[in-house]
Amino acid sequence: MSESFRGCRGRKVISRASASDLGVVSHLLVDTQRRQVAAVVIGSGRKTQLVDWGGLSGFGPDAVMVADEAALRPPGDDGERAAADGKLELVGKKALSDRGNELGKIDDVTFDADTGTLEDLIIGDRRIPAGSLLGCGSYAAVLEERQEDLG
Amino acid sequence: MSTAVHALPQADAVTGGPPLRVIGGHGQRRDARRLLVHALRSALEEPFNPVGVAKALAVMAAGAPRALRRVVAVGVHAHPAVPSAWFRIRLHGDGPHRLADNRCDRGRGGGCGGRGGSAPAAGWERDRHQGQAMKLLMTASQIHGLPVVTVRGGEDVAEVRDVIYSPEAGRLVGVTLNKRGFLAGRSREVLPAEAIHAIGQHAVMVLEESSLVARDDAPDEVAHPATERDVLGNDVLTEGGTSLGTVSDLVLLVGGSGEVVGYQIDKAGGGQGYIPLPAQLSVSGVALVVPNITEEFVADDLVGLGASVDDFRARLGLK
Repeated sequence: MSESFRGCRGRKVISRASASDLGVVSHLLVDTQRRQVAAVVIGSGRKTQLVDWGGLSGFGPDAVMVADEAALRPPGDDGERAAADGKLELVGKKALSDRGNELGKIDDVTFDADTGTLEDLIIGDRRIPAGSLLGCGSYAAVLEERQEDLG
Repeated sequence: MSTAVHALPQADAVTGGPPLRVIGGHGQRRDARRLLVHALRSALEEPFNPVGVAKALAVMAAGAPRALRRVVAVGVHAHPAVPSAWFRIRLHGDGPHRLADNRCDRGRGGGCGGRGGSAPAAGWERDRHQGQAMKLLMTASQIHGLPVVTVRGGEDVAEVRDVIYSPEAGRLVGVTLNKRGFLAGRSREVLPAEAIHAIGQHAVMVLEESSLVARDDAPDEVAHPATERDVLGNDVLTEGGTSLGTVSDLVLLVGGSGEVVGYQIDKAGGGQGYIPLPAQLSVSGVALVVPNITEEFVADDLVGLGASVDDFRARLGLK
């Protein structure tokens, strides 16, 4: 099933073992090399916790399920902490082509809820296949330039 | 040998705000038209309305269709209260021109240079159907200040300080850099042309941060450009001894190798123009000598220059 980054914000994260509420999704971390959702970020600030995509037992339309609380972990290093704070958040990021032309601002990203594979980047009324994503940093997300994507 | 080209004052300084982006989809273009009509009307109001004039000029600079630019230009210029300096800066604009879009507008009215869009040599033009990479003409002052962004990292690692090119080779040899951020100073690193992945309208792209080269390790022509050979202000003389004007900026074909294809000049008779360059050129640091036929190819804007460069070089090749 296809999900969107914007759509899953605020979704509850539930432990399957205890049925307890562990927090809500604040955003998703992306592995730009593999074009995959790498982890789900829960909460913000000092209480930020991550669940790696592999640690999820299900990404459902009403709740994100994890096996138990042990699946949650704090950000590992400074780089991951910055990413968890939203520095690399794709939604809202400036999209720049690898030829140096701006394509607009990324409004949303869709992904497959079963595999975590990114599908499309949505910029205004254009849908750009996630396969063209080359990198993402604090300044911009860089996409391969295709003629039809130039505004 | 190479020459530093320092940026000209940005046109933004004149009106304060950022230049309006008006070229885009059809809806946006209609908006631009309405804005122009409105701006023109308010520009000609009594008493003098500086905001209206600024808007009209901003619209022109943002790449309004040429016919409309001309209507506004004539209207605004006729107004006794408009400082002529404003007019000159804004008409040609320093903002990023969307050349291809301008060209489309002209194309419908009969094409540029009578060659239509089919000639493969017109590679600077954006062509959706042939899937060519977009090539753009940009002036050195438009490249000045662009962020340098890594393709793999998406980080802005520096920004362009000076554009350095070799008049003999007719191409960009590299750029010097400033650090990124407010009040950040000169960077110790430079970017040779070989390390540039692409130059676009909004950024200079490099593959990774390690593409930047320490000044000491860079080729001498990039690390230590000969500033005494700055071409800005040089006289442009034809072989026949006619002065066409003085150099005010240089025009590069970006998206590819960073070839220098022309100069922006302050014309001897007043106003600005663009002249195409042969692939190679000899310059002395005081004057540059161009073939006699250059006089026939002086263009009013970058679009006109783009259309004439190939014709110009073809004519030279035949001789």
